[in-house]
Amino acid sequence: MPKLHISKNTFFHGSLLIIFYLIIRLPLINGGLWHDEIYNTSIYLAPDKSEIAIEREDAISSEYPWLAENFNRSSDWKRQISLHPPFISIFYAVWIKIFGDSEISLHIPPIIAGILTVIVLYLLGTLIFDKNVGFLAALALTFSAPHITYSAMAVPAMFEMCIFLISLYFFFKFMLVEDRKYFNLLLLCNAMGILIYYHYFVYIIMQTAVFWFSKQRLKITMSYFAVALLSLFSFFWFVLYNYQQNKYLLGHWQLNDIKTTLKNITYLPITFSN
Amino acid sequence: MYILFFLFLIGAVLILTNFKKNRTILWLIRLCLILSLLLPFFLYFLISLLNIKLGTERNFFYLLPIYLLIASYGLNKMFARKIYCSIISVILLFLLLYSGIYAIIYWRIVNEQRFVVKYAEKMNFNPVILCTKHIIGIWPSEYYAIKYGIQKKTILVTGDCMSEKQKTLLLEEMEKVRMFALLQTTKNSMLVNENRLFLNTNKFSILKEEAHEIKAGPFQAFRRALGFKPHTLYVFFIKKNP
Repeated sequence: MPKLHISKNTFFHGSLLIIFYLIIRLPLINGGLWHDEIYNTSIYLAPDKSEIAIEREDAISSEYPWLAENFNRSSDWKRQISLHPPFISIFYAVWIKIFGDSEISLHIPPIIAGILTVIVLYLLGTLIFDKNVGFLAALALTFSAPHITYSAMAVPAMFEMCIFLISLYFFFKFMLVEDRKYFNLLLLCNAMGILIYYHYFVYIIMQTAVFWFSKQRLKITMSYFAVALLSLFSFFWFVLYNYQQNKYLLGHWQLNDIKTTLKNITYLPITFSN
Repeated sequence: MYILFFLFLIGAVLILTNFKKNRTILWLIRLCLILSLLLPFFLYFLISLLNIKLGTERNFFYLLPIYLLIASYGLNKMFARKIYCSIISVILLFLLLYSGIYAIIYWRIVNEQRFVVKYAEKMNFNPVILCTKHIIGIWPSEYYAIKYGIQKKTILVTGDCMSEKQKTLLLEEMEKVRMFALLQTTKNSMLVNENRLFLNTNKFSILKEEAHEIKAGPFQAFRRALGFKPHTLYVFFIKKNP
């Protein structure tokens, strides 16, 4: 059995990162839940809570025409699944049954995922560049505002980052070491990633493109490319179908383009809050 | 974002394959790193760090570590030149601390929702009308109302703004009751005045008004020290005119 060797330096860096991480995140663990968290975690669980949610059915009909027919909470998983794969919601359904739905219980999984992201980023930086770069990047992530916010929030964001970084680590490790076990671990991460968020498909395109150009050196079989192509084809069909159904038309959402982003800069720093 | 990420991947793969002797590829690596460093650093990294209100950026949140990694690589290279070392480290430290502090402070605001529901429960409001900023799904006030077992009484919680559609819905609900309480959480007194005008119509009159400062957790004092206004819960007791 191979022994895990952690150098003193790595241990010191890792401990420092975890201490900083916990000092900042632990005060947030009991924070109030907000709507996306409640929705993400209870969509498969709480048909009895649906009465209040569908009170405003008339208003919903005018804003979401495709939802107008027979809308209720228990049928809303169709809308939900067009935006996010169901893995996180199903995970939370099981989690809540075991550990309850208190704020602390719901915030523990993203906090654990957050610790993993910091550690894996450190390892990734060390692997690609050196320990200084890895530590600096992980430290920046520990103190970055979005990371602090999402690490105490029961939404898919932190799980997305976690699986993405772990798979990226295995990707580079495989490229560097050319050991088959890292390729298998990468495939496992890819399967998990697809179940967590749809953007992951874009990453698979890039991954497959890199593998294609190094297929002889890395000994990648054609069956891998066939499976990747098939899954990408299914994904594009799914997205196309959703566009045709206007499932991405959500009027009240803020536009996610450069113009809106630049406009938001003009609000700084006076409108941090609402 | 995808283009930048692709540039990063190309750069990183090229670094791994170690083509250091080939000058063209070396320049390609530099180009990739510079492009990946500059654009996200100024357009995404800074904005994301400083403005936590950019909720839609959650879609690309998972790319943040990549930008940080590339930015750290760039900084690490620059550290070799001592002239830039102190300036850059001071700026970076400032950004990290600034954004970290803001994230903690503002995340506490979510506790307002719980405060409102607990207050309503304590005062035994009945009937109270429900009208949240959002109209779909289970929203925090509704969720906590259910959780604390007061779903029989509905609660009116408005945020800073109320759309015309929500006002219409609210008026419809108000017509159904004789007396009720309206609860609003805000730090903007102008909006409270606007609501006063909206409520003081011929049909309704405000009997009494209360204002309660919201206790936003252990960071309340810290927020005050930095000069931020606390959010306030306004309670209007309203009567329908005969």
